[in-house]
Amino acid sequence: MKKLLERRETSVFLILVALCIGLTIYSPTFLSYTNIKNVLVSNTAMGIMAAGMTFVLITAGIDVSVASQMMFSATWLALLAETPLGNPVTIVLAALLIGLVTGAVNGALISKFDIHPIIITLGTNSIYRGIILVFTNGRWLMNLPKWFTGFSSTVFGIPLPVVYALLIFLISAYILKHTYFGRSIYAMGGNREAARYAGVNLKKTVFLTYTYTGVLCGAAGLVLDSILGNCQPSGSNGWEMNVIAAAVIGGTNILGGYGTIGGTVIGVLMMGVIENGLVVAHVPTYWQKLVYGLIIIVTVTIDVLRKKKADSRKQMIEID
Amino acid sequence: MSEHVFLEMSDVSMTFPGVKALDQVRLDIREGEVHALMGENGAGKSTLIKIISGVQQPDPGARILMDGEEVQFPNVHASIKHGINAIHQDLSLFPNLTVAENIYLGRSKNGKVDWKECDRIAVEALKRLEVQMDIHELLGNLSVAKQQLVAIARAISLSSRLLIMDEPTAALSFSEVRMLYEIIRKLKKENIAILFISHKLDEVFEVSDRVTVLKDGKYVGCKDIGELNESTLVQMMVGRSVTYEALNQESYAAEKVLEVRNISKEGNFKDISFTLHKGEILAFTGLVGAGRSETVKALFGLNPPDQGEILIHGQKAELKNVTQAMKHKIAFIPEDRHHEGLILNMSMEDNITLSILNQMLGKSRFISSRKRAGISGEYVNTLNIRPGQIYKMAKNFSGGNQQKIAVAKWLVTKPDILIIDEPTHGVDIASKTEIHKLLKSLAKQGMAIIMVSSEWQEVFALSDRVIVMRHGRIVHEDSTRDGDQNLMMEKAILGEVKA
Amino acid sequence: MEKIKKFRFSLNGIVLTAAFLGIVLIGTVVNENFLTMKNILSIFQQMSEMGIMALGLTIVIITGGNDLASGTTMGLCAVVSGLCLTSGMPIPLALLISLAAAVACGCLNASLVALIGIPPMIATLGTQMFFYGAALVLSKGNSISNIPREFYFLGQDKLAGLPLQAVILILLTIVLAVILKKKVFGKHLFAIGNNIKASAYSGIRTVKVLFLAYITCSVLCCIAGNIQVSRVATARADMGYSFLMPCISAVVLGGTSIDGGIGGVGGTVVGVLIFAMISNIMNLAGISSFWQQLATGSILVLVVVFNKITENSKLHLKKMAGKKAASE
Repeated sequence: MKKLLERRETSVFLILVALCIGLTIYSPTFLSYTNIKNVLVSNTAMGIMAAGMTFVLITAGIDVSVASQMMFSATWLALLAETPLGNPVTIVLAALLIGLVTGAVNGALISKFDIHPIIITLGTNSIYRGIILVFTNGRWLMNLPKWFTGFSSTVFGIPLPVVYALLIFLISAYILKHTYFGRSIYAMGGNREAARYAGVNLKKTVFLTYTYTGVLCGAAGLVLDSILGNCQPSGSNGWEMNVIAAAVIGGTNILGGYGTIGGTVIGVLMMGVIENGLVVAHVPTYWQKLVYGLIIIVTVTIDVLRKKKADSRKQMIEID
Repeated sequence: MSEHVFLEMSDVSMTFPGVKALDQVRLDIREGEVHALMGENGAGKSTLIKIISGVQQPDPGARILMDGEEVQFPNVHASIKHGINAIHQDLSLFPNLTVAENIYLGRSKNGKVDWKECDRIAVEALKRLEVQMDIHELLGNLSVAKQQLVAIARAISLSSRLLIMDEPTAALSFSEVRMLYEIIRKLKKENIAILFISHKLDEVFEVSDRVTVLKDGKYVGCKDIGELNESTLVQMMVGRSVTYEALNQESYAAEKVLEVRNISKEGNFKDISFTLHKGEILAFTGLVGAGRSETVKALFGLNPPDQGEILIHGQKAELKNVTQAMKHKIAFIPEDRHHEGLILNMSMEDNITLSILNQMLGKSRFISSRKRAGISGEYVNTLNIRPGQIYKMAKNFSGGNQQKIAVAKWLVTKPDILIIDEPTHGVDIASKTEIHKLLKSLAKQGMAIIMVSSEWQEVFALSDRVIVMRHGRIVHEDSTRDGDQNLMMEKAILGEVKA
Repeated sequence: MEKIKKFRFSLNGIVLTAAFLGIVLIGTVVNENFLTMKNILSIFQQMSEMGIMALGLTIVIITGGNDLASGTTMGLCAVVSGLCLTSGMPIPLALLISLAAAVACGCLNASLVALIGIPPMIATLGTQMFFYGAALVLSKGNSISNIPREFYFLGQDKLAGLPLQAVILILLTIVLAVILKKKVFGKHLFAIGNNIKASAYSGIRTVKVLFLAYITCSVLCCIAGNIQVSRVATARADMGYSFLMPCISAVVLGGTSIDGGIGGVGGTVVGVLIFAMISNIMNLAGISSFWQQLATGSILVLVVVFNKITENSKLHLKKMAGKKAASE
């Protein structure tokens, strides 16, 4: 119980609850089924990517190409859906495969060469986006088939995208908590050199991390297409920053070593609720960026100062 | 302990660019013995244990025999498979994970983590050490001593035959050290061999069966502890083969250049007072971690003290940063040339003139290449830096010449007080002598020099007075000319003088 | 002796020159208008804003840092300046306030990096979003038009036949090149980029130097932003947002190491020029601008990977040589 209270997720969760209560008092429609469904569904794609981002951030890496990877997948899926090959099975397989490829390219470049992941993913960000823009010439892909939008239908009152997201969260949480790969991610984020001494294959872990994130981005592309019913290859620009913000708000340490899927989910919900609340309260949405930027700066500052303090304590010597 | 040698290593060499860290070293370990690995700093001990534990690969040609069969340790897993695991100096633990997972990490069945198994292994390992600990606490919240115990628990849970420890008692208090000895004896009974690095003679005599000594990357010898006493062991470590020309026969002036009064800093040093005279070489010695470097860094504004005062030429001086220290004409040559002393990827000229760029401006207020080349060339000649190519990058010089560049870099500031930390660390014999002569001639010209050194011969050959530190305090101060070498060594190592 | 020093720069110089000449050649072959005076001047005009921002990034990258917020700093300064100008302020005052905003941005970046010790990429990723948000809030998410005509001189006038902004770029390049080569501040930037600890131990005031570096970068972004405001007669928060990628690409293409410690502004300008020529050729040939995005990303990845490979092979050779020497 004590440990639960100490965690950053707990305080963020309490703030989230308080925010929800406040919004409900301000405008009772906040708690309506339609509004809640709306908040949840519109944040599924981001939530799925944020789960991947959590993996990357725990390794002390970063991936600023997630939005491009998602649109890369979304665009090819929309194109595939128009061909005779397009059916629900091939679309799902293609989504995962496309994400696998984009993620693996990132993973290979980052693990093979000792280059800061921001630089590599800034580059691939442009490359993935450039490819789909060149291919579609920036054209919107409208009117996706019915079976495609059917992926996001509502069954027994539950929107399917939320189910997919939940499933992905569960799988991701399982991987992080219960697999050697997941624990290696925490180990290398906590102490890279010690992880090597403990026999963790750093290159392989890094490669798998970015690849897994890619796969999730691929899945996010599928979900996004099915929700929107169309695909805008130049869309979702700058989403990577929201994804990073969601993970960081949810307690993931951007310097590596700490983070949970549960926290990230809270972070995503928090951002969704804030956005919704701003609309409800008629506050212009452009305040969001300012606030998220500030949150990232402040949390990272706290994390760095805390780490510095711990390090200096470690270097002290014993005086008789 | 049986006489059966199960691990035999020979012809182990390890080369880093430009440095031979190990040269044809050998080592053998018997079943269930406690084996101490000793030697001064830079002798290659840590490198050797990194090779045994599979962290680093030796140069081709090394032979490692396990129970008479040739084996290789290409990675950590290979060593663990042979029942060997090491605790490295920095402990190599994960502050963000729990105690249990720190002990368990690295094991898995089919890529899955068995948390019940994890707890079981952790509990069992801690039980073997007879320590009580909440295994679900985050490691980062524990004291260093407790973290050390976790590291030991982890290593014994992985090592069935050989446990390696790199200075295991460095961060432990007296009672914890006792406990560690108990653990070592218990493991011995379980027929697990222990190889440990230590600088503490008392501890080596207390627990070990045999001692292997390395010096400058070379094998010196391996003896049963019964064949040795403290002075013969010290002799093996420091080696009488090298003697330096005694240069400390001059007298220094009575003028006080620096007076330090009761400076203290939490976790660094306590109640340090001493005086430095014009033309004097004052040595600070003691074991690694005694607080010597921390103390001299305080004089250079890198580690400002919490209390006490520092007087320079009789005036109270504020030394809160490097700029202030430089204004008081203090220079500091750090021990770690590669990371602190020099900028390896810049040219010799850049390095030599880095601290005095403001004096290198021409009439037009731009940096004058001619001035820079002139002053660099001048010091290349006076210090005999070879090769004398001022545009060559610092990383492409030998250790001795790099050290000379580091010295030149500070001599150009024309300091009154020169602080030099381990002046001849990783430097070949010929350059050592040159650097010694240089320091002496500087002192003769009136410079006051503080030298931190772990090498006894160097201290006695070069310095006029010596200060011995231990656990952050000054434990002894004496003139080197009539001081008793053995007495000082014992004070530094044991903290007290045995009757 | 001199030879050794020069050789270090020549490998990158050869690659850069070859790329430059190759693109000029392609441009000339593809379109007869490429080498006309008019087209060259338009390339200069196009590259100036990006070039000025890339100069600032070069300074920061040399220190071993990075400023991912440079694009949004440009947007923020543009918005500030736009607001001031449309409120009827005299132009010098508006520029001054815009510059003050830039200095504040630079100070925030530098505080996070130099005082608190946040890795530069992470710190400036946070401020990137923060500055963008600030610009959006200030402009209420709208683009600011009605910029007074008197302000058009900065981005639309010519001086001695050259676009004014190209003149500014050339002057800034010369000034910065001299500072990097011949001033104490320049030498300190390189020293910090190579080894910040040894620099501090050598008496360099690293915090002060880093503050100056990040402020310089922000101020240059501000200049680029104001030029763009003047040229297109509007100010928007997302101005410069798309500049970040090509600017970083141009800096590394120009021979500045992404790890810091090596580089210069001359190479950066050539790098920007190469990108400007590529986009110009594509425009002349009627190729979609989307290709440019693909090209910038590819060039960035290729250049950093190429640099790493050559660096690693050098290191490997050195290690082998070391082993050989030690065993003899």
